[in-house]
Amino acid sequence: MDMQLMQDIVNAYGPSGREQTASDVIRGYIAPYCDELYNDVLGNLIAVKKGTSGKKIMFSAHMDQIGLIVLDIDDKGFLYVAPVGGVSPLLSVAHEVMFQNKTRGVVSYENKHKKLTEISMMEVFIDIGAATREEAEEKVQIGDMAVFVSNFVYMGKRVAHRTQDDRIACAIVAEAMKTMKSDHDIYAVFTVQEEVGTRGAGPAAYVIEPDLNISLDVCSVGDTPESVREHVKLGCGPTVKAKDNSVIVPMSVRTFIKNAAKKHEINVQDEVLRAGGTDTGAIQRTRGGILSGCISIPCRYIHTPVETVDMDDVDAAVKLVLACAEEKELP
Amino acid sequence: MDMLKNITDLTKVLGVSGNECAAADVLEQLFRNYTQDTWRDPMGNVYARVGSQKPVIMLMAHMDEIGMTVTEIEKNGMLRLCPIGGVDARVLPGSELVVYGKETLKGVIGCTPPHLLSESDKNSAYDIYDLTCDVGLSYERVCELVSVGDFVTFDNLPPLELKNGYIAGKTFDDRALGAALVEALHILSKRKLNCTVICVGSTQEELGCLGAAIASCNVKPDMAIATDVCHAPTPLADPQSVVDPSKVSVTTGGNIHPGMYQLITEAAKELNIPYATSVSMARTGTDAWNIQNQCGGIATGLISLPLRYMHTNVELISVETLKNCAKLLAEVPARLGSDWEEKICWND
Amino acid sequence: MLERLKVLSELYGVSGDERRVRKYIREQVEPMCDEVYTDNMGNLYAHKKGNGKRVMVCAHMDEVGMIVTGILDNGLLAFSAAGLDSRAIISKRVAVGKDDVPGVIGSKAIHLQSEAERKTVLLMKDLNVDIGAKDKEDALKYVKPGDYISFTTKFSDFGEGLFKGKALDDRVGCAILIELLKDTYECDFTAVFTVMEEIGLRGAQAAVYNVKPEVALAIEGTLCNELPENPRRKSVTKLNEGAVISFMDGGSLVPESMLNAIKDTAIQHNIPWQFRQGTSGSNDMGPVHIGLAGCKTGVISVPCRYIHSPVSVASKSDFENVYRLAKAFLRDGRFNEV
Repeated sequence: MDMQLMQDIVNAYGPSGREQTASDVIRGYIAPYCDELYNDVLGNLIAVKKGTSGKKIMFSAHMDQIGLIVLDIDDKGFLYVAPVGGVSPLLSVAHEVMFQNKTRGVVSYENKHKKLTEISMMEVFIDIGAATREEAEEKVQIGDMAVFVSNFVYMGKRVAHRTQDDRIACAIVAEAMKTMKSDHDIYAVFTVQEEVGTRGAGPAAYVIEPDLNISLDVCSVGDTPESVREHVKLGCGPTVKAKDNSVIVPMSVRTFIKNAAKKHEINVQDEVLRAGGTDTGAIQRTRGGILSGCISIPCRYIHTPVETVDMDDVDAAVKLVLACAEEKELP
Repeated sequence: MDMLKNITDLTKVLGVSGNECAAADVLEQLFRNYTQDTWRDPMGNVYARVGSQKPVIMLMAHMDEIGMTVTEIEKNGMLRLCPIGGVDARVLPGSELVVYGKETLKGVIGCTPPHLLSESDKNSAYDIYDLTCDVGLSYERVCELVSVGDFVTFDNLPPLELKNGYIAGKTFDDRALGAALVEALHILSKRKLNCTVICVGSTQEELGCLGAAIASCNVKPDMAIATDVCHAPTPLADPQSVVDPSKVSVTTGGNIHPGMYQLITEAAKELNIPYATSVSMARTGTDAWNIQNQCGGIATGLISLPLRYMHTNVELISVETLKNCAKLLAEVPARLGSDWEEKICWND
Repeated sequence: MLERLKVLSELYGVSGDERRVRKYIREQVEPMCDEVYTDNMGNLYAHKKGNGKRVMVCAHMDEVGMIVTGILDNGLLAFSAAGLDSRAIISKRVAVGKDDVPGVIGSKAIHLQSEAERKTVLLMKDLNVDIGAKDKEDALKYVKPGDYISFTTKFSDFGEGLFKGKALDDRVGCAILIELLKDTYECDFTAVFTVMEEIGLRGAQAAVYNVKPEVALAIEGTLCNELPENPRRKSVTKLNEGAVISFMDGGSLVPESMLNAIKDTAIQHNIPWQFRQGTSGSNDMGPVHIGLAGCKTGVISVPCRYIHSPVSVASKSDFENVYRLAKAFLRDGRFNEV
């Protein structure tokens, strides 16, 4: 993995519905390696690399991240917000946020009536250092979105960042595009609005009509002390998804990915995700049904400020994407 | 044709939502007794066509069943499971299961003997998350045969014949209606048709009727009738939401085109089939919901078979009522004439 | 436009049974359009052919209400409801079925209630409609399971510059959309009067397939929860403060280009406007913006107090301003900017 590419893609601003900046960063990295590159009507970034077989494989990763949207600005310049995607009020408080125009702020809450553990988003506000409404309005408008600021934490081969979900997968697909070899047309699709209900992926698949889609996302693990029971462990390879709340992956697709992994001696894990959905399902139910599977990157502490992945899994996932693309026979 | 034999053949095979291949094979084979024009799609739906004229009417029953999948293999070789579809964890303790690994394995969901339970334990329902499936093998052997993501179903015993033409068994939801589709196709294959009938065995109904939406996009029918099971009276059930098991249920409400309700009830009266009207303001929780809104809107009707103890291993139905479902399913398309468009016109 | 709103508001059109509303609108719009048609779900399409982008504007015809699920032996009607709070329907007058059979929703008298009962919420299943039938057999002469039940609230002027009535969500949209059809626009324009919005945005899912819009707009009646203790973000909108422009709700995020196009139109034409300062609730644009290949959508709304209850209140000026904004957006060809 090209670390500069990973850092730039993971750090880019791009809450659901406002992904243009993130899209531009990814575009910069993959432009030299594709035959066509465009944003569709919803903003999905689509990169095409032509093949000769007449078949199409789509690799999709969502580029949006969760964030906060400004609902109101009070007389003293505090911004009241609603969540964009599954944002926990508890994990928002005491964190730094950034708007598209680089305005910085910090998040806190109304502490008169409720304890921190009891609050809802209604009591959460952003302080951007403004003293009055007018001063705040010079920097931020109602309807603007903020994302949480985060730094990379390098812990040997394990790396934490607030936006590993799902930019690490965007980085994997972007990295794989550099050396991608395939008989098939390859569509690398960086989807929008996954965090607000997997909205972007379906329309992209509708237009592309792939013969096979493989989504890349993160999945939760069960290898931390006294954690919720999960089969997947960090550092044991990317997973081949069997099920999440959005999809049951057809056997033929699971076998296809596993065989590709076996050929290239890539260790994979089987994944049954108890909670949460992915673009995989949204794509599967497009048009007359699209064969759709998912490779996940094991990730600790999903939807917290310290989403942690193992670089060995990340590198293996790049190899697995390449391996799938190289397969001549599709399921 | 032997309805009971068809039900037996259809219910003994695996068909957990998302992996309906085996059920689809059986259903397609049964369809092929009456038409050679059958096919599949990437979602696993099975289609069978008779007739060639406009309009196209789609008859649908879902092939999938609720079940479970393996989430973990414990160090003593026991399996942890999670549900696929609406599995009531309270019926699981003491159940026999089938685990579809590299080999088909027998499994048992055990429970702690009463001697070892405290009063509060006894009063709290089991959660599927805490239950284990025992296949009687060592950890090493289980790892060879079973992977996370393998499917698990209830034991596939043949239907049990009860008094008065009632039968009980597994997966009558909705394979019994699959058998009704086969019988309807049988009837239709002998009649002269002014329409095209496409029978569809749909997939993933228990996960939100995914197969139905896809099949509708593929068939683009002019009208459709979904079939499913509904609740027959059981203790503690609301009397407004159950139907006498001797009657075919015909649904009306937002999910149903009034013209289709009319066509179905007229056919029932013509054949002297006892029916009851079920009312559903919005979501019917059946394939009908995901047919109606496809392809710019499809005139959709719903016929249901009353069933007791839904989503258990002892689902109970009346064979006579099921046969009436089949007759009714055949009669609606058989009666269609050149005035079909008027029948589903909005007479404001 | 207000006269027409009165008629629309008083028509019965519970989700799934929009035929009265559809009939009325069809009569109104037929002279103004190139073609008027329905689909198998009951959506009404009013098409004005033209060159340029395919633009779709939606308003939903249906309103919240109830349906008869069964008749009890004593002649009372059991019902189920969609989009209603059971606490707001007790002691109201209703009309049942296609013959508008009058009925009431009663409840146990306060004298007969225990202290505990008075604090308990009555659920839909505890309530019945009484049409005065002697018994089940008698009731079946007038009504049957599957009949729809609507409130009978009359439309009228209210207070200062306001009006009240039932079903303002979304008959205000229907009235505005009919008015918009009087003009011509530089695009291929389809007005869609959708069905079953209140039971899961159902009609719009079919409409997007039939129209295949490139740009779509919904005209809605929206939340205006102006309780005295509510700050703006809890009231969402305010009465008399102008046309409401959405940036995000539970069903869709309005793209920046669309948001700016609508906002700039309002500013340029001096039309009072306000943001919809909340993100809960959804509308037909949810399924529309991600239908097929996707399209750009926006929402303009009239603030309506007490929506999803038997009576709601809105302002004449807001109503007028939503019409002006939608018309200016279309007349100025703003859809070409998104």
